[in-house]
Amino acid sequence: MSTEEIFATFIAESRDLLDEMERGLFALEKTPDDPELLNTVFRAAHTIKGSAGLFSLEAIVAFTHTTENLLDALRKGQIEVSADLINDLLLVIDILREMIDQAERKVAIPNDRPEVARLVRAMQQRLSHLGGASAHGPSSEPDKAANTVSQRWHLSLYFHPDVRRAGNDPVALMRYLEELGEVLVRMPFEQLSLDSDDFDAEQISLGFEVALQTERPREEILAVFDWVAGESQVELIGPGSDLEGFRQALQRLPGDPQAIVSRWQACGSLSAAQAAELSAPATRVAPAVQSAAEATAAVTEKQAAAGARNDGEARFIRIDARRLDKLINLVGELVIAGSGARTLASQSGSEELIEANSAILQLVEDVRDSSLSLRTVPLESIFSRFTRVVREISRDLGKEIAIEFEGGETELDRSLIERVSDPLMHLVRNAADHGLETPEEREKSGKSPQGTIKLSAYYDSGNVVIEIIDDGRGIDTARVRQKALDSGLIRADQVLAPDQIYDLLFQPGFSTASKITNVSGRGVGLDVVRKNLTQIRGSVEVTSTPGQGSRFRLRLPLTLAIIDGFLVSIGRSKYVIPVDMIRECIEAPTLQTGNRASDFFNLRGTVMPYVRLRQLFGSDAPARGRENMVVTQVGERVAGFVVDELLGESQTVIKPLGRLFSNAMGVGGATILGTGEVALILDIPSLMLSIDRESRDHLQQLAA
Amino acid sequence: MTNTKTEPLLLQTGSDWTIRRAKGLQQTLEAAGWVLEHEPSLQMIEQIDLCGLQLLVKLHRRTSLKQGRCHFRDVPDVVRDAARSSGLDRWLEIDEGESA
Repeated sequence: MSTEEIFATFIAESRDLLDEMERGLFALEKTPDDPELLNTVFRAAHTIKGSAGLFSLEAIVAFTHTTENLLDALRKGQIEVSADLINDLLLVIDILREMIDQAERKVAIPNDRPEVARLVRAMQQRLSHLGGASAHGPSSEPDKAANTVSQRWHLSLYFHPDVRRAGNDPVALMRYLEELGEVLVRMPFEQLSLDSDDFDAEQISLGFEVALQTERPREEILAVFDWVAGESQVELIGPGSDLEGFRQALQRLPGDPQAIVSRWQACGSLSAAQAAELSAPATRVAPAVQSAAEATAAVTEKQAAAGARNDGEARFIRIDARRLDKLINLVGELVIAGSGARTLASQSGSEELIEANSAILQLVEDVRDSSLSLRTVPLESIFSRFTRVVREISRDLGKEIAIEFEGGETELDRSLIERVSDPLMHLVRNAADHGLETPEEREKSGKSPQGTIKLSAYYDSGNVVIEIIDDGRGIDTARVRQKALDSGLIRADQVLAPDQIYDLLFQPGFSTASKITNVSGRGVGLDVVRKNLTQIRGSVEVTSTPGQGSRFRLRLPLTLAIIDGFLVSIGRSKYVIPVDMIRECIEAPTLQTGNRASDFFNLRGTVMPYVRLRQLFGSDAPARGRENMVVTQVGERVAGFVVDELLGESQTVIKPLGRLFSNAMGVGGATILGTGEVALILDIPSLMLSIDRESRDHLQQLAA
Repeated sequence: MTNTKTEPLLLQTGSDWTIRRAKGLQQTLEAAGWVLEHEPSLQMIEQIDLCGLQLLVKLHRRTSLKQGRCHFRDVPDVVRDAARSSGLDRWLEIDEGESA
């Protein structure tokens, strides 16, 4: 792993830890005495500080150090959780996020920012009445005198030969030890001989004996080596440890016991008499290591044992997302090449070839699904952001708002997660600002003064659906209609169904807010929501009940990369319909639509709209025999699509259409078929909406 | 880099003495038989980690064995600090004096 890769890991982990801290703080507001929550938040800050120290990010180290002190005092119950304190800690997280961003961009992190100084002062103020250890540094054992009295510790550091390859520089760790107290002795020794023929410049051959004078507790000293724990062996002895402490450490350490004891004596950690007693034959439990290879094996064996303890942590590895993107792209090419091979196999007429090819395609499909699942992340990773937003909006607007989450485990492609985050933010802010009433208004309506916004996610028909539900006043359709009329968006004689009225909310610049707040009401929001969702083949629909609340339902594709498609043709053109949206395929009866592309059809007693794609897309190729109908379902909507031929299932690698076609109605992308032909992928949800509109207009015309 | 067994190696092996260049440095120094000019300058070193320090220790030791006492000169702060933090300053016989 290169230094750059290690640094990228640090950046990513720090962001995760800050998210974890933020979640922990919100949870602490509800259960301020939960020791595990306090420990989680403390550990996150501590790890960020330690890791930042390895990269000499002094501004981050200094800032998190003060934060850590405050969190430690909280952990010990010396100060209490309060709304103000949580506010300050949330600001700390914001600033740390900015600092991490600056570190990532390799921009110098200023250490004289006024807001940092203010927060540091505020934190120190909270700690000032405590005095003693907490004002200076964290500890886990408040009752022990060791926290306030400087004492001598001995460290024997046996670094794994590959510790540097894993990104950890023992020199940086030794340097960091200096921040904990006074390093009285630093004694390097050769774990592996530097003169060995096996000398490898990338391996660490040296170990260190260190005598440290500090008032910090054991936990904090050991935490310096958190990043190498499980790989390297760190023995921390003392303070004031009797001979037994050294004896036990001696039994655990690799190498010649006599040499180890001599080093401890040379460091001044053992007296001559103690050294002699430890060197007595009975204590020689480990054989002398003869060679570099044996030493490596001995160290590795001990580390393997330590590694076994960390199996739980080793289940996850962090991978650069670009590598996954590359893998997905390659799988996409594999799918296209596989389709080509299937076409050729089919043309050859060879049963064996077709069968062998079919087996390969099945494996390709499995590889495709496994690869795509690598890139998905649970939605809870963005859900938690909204706790913060709602908390701040509640404060700004004087509303009492609770936020609930459901289905946070639902996974979505990583690239989609980020792109759906902004639309969700708009909708949550809208729900808090426009949707929910003030506590007084709610009480007048017989509701609880606290409003609720619920974010719910689930899978449906090959899509991920995210709903933002509020129990507020609901959408006032009369007011929306009037506003649209005033803005010239509709005519006075236009009859609009509720969903058509809700649709007006997504028009650019449309807002019913009587006053502009910092939260929303500027008329930018819902149009951007729809635009952003459309760009990722998603959609949004609204339902609302006056006095009871509103529900915004976002429908998103599972992935932007590859789907199971169903190939159909109209004339010479081929189109793909996502298989997950297909309910059934039937032979189309003779349908008379006149000049219109869409009409209604009675399918076994159920009337549903359908559209003749030939007419919709203006194809003038001659029809070939009977037509077919693909019956699709998205959520509760059902619609039929009349096509010429049904060509069967096809794995579809989605290629985006160019910007020129960004407004092409009913088309969500393109794909390359095995034959090399290009097929357009139908955007079924948007086609259904257009059918609805056309059908409604048609019915109105008939009624008139 | 040519084999300088007959002509002492000038320590112009680059500014990066970290794991990124450690293998290359090792090869260069091996090719030169670890023979250095007298009191080589470390002035060029801008980055160093324990891998680099180990190479310096090995270099110092090998050169000391072959040529008698070897003192590095023009030791930059970055090397001096890393050596001090790790306790290798004594092995490398880096004095507390003026840095490069």
